[in-house]
Amino acid sequence: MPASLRDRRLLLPLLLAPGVGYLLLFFGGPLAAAFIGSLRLEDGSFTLTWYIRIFTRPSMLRGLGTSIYYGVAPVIVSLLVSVPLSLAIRRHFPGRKLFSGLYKLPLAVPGIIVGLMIIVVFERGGFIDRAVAPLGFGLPKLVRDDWGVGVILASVWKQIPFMTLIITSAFAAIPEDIRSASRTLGASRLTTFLRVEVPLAMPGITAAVLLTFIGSMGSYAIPDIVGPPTARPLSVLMVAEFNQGRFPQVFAMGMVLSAFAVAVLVAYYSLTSRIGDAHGRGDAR
Amino acid sequence: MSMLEITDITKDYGASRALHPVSLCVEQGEFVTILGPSGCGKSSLLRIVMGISEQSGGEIRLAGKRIDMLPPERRDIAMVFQSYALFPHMTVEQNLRFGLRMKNVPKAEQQTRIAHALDICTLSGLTSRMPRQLSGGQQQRVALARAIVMQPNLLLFDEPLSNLDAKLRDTLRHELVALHRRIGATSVYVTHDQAEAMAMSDRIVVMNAGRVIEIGTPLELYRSPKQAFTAGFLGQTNLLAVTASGRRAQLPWGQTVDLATEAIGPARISVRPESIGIHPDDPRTRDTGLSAPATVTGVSFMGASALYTVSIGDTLLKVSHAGGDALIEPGRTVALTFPSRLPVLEDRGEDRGREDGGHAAEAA
Amino acid sequence: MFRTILAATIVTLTASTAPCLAAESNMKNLTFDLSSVTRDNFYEVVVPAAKAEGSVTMYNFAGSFGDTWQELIRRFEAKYGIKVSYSDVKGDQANQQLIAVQSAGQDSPVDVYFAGGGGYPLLSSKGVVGKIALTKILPNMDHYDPVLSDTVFGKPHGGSFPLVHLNQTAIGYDSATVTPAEVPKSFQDLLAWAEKNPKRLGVTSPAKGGSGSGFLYSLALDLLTGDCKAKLTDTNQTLDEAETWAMDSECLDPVWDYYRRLLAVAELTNGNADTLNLINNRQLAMGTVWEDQVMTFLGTKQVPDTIRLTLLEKGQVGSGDAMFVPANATHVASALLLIDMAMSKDFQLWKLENKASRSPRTDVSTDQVPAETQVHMLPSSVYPRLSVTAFWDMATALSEALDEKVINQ
Repeated sequence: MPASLRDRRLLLPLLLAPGVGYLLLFFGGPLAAAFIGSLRLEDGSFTLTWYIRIFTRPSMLRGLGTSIYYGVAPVIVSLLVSVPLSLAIRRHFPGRKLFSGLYKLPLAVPGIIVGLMIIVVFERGGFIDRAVAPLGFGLPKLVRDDWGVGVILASVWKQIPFMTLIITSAFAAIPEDIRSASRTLGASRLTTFLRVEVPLAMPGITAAVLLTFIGSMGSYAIPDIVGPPTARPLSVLMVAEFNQGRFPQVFAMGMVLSAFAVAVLVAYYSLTSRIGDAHGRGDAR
Repeated sequence: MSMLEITDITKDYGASRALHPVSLCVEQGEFVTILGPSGCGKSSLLRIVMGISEQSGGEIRLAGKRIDMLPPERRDIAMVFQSYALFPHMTVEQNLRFGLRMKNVPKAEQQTRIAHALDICTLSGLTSRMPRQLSGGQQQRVALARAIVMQPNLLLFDEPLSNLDAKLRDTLRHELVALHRRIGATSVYVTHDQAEAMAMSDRIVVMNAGRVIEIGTPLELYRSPKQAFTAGFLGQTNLLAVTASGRRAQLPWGQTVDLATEAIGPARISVRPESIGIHPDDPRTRDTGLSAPATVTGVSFMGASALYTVSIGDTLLKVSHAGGDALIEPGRTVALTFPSRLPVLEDRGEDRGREDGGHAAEAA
Repeated sequence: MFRTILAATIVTLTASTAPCLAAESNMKNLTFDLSSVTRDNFYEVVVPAAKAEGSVTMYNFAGSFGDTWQELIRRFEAKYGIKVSYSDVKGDQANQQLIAVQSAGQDSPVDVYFAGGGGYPLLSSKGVVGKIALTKILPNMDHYDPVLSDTVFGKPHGGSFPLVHLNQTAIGYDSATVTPAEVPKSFQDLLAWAEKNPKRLGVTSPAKGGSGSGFLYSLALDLLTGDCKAKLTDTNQTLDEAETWAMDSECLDPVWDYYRRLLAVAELTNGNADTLNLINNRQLAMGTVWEDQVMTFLGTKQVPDTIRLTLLEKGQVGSGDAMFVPANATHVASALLLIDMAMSKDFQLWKLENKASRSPRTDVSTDQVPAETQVHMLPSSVYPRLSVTAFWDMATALSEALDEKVINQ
């Protein structure tokens, strides 16, 4: 071994190089390039124009709000469905095997297909609307509605399997004995769930929440097809700007969107820190 | 009235029966061990008593009150798990306080009980540690402390020492029994370790293949087992087929011995290796005119004693000899002497390891 | 020494001949004398050169045109035996690709590019468009619309960027629910109808479909007068200039007022197809549409057979898409031949009848297609009379301003 390799000061960066170097090259590099790009005018001079546009134009501000809304709302709804669902598929019931295979299907369906499916099936005058019309019912407005209910439904439909998959395994990783121990110590089923199982499953739930949040916040196809044309999220506006060839604007929007995604994540962490932190020091055996 | 009365508890999984009707009484302050090989149903029985597994039939009463329909949290029983099952996201103190809070024990009382439990389990100073920062023995004591702060009517132990190394297991075994006496608890302890069972228990319940084989004090079960399974599972033994006539019986090689009880015709007896006398070059060998000579075919030196394999007729006997200045070399001819009042086994089965064991023993 | 003189001579020669060539063409990979090609000797010169090339590559930016070009390619390959490799592309991406290839000095991956008519300013400014006076030398362009022959949406192109397909924004309505008397004739009629029939008129979001931004620009043309209108139609403005004007000018206040009233009673949709889908679902009785897309949707039964089209006074914008040869294309002769065939009367008529794709040829009109097809096209009482030229950069600017001033307020 050469002497230089034995020198710890040299060895450390060398050992870190594959990991940190990879991050710098494939994550830091493009990020830095996009950031620099967002501060340039066509002639290369420095400008804040692109950022000013984001924070002064009503469409952009609304887009930012819409992006966060489309990120957060589906996650909340999905979580409310996924947690009970993952508890249910832990139990034995007739047809469980078939169900636990079927519920994963949406994972394989691309967002754009989901969007089109919503249009065909849930649009007023669409498949379901026509099917229930003879019964005197009509579907509420789900497509292009101001609250983006269609977008949220589509995202939820797509997220639930992924979330359920992760949360199910998070719950499954909790030893049965710990559940039993809680019961023997006087905790009811519900209390055991809230005080023992949820905190222990928190890392899994957090991972599911973060991944789906980032996914739906950045999704383009579903809000573009199903969402209202009035409130367009930044992802959709970015593509519009890209089509205009305004790359610095696209970069700036990407920066702002990323910054807000990080902000939401930080807020989430500080909200769940008590549960998450307690577990962080624990160790599910 | 017994503290715990288990009556005809069964457990079926579909068509297969995991527990045949089991009945058992445990008295106030008693330490009862359920002993058996893995898969014998002992843990199932414990979990049914706790309420974390459901019985298929039968009744359970605790302090006179029927509990088998109650959820575990309302049974007034605490349990120590083999895996300890500490809450990994709580400190030692939070683990201990959890049950007290669930039972709405007043704050001051919680404090007293926790301090007491920490003290008697020698855990003081570890209160703010997380479980993963503790050693196995410490975790085990936390699990114990967490159970005893509850001051339950009944304490259940599911092989709580089996994950520890031998030395620690020995120490904790004694601590545990001492603790049981000190707090005056009623305990049911499940294990597959016969030494542990004999060292700790007031009474032992021997189980095999979903049935209770025999119930008795460690001494009774060791000295005069009624079932071959008990004789074989508790320590080492020689099972011999004999022909009995009253209190006398003839061994396969013709020698006659005294029986503890009367029997007629073919019977089986259990003879502990250490109860057989082994005498090399003893003039009595020739004097008594035995029909066949006994020959030592193998020897294992165990420290305090030596275990010999002795061939006599078609039979191989295990004989243990304590002390002695020199080992008897294999090949030597020896004389064997048998104690009087040998226990006659109730079952006449040929194979002591048979899976379905003997008849279900009568409820105590 | 000799070498130096030779090199100097070559430099001198090149320097003296280059400007002359450049004035005629910026084509990089010519295998034949393009400058000598006229309408009369076109086939004589070009066909042998094309056959020597043996193949040609074509890009199509318009998803709905796939089968149209398959028909053309079938005819082309049958007639000339020259293989066409064809790709559907996304217009914006292909534009960026060609610009990048051009600036890197590489050969173009494509020889004939069917591109959006609005792309000319961008593509020509980056030198992507091959300077060939197609409208002057292709035999099948002898009946070409004289205005389009030299300009595209107000920009002079010297014949290098000829539209081969014209399309027209329009108002589509379901004649099963809208009576002939109710059919709006002007923008004011339309607003009145929408207010009488709330949520029955679909207006494509200008940001999401040309039938929407075309409608917006047509409305501005209708409402603005004098200097305001002059500015609105000044095609010398860049997109940035148009945006600045659209955001700041008070000229457009009547337009915004109209939209505020309109959006209160109309459904803003997510695109051209979205509008047609809602008409098909009978949720809308009327909407902003493209004439050719209606025909496409009729072919797959995605709009009711009762759909009819009309144009509002004082005109709605028409558009078109062009075929051009990139400057650094490698199969130029075949490219010329393919564009020539695309402009043949035969094919233009086929395209009109099957796709409602209007022709820049003056000798092709709806009178030549069967009557049952004609009912689904704009009647000759309004087309081409009420078709006005699009200015897409201004339409884009207007739609952005509409976003800020009306939709997000």
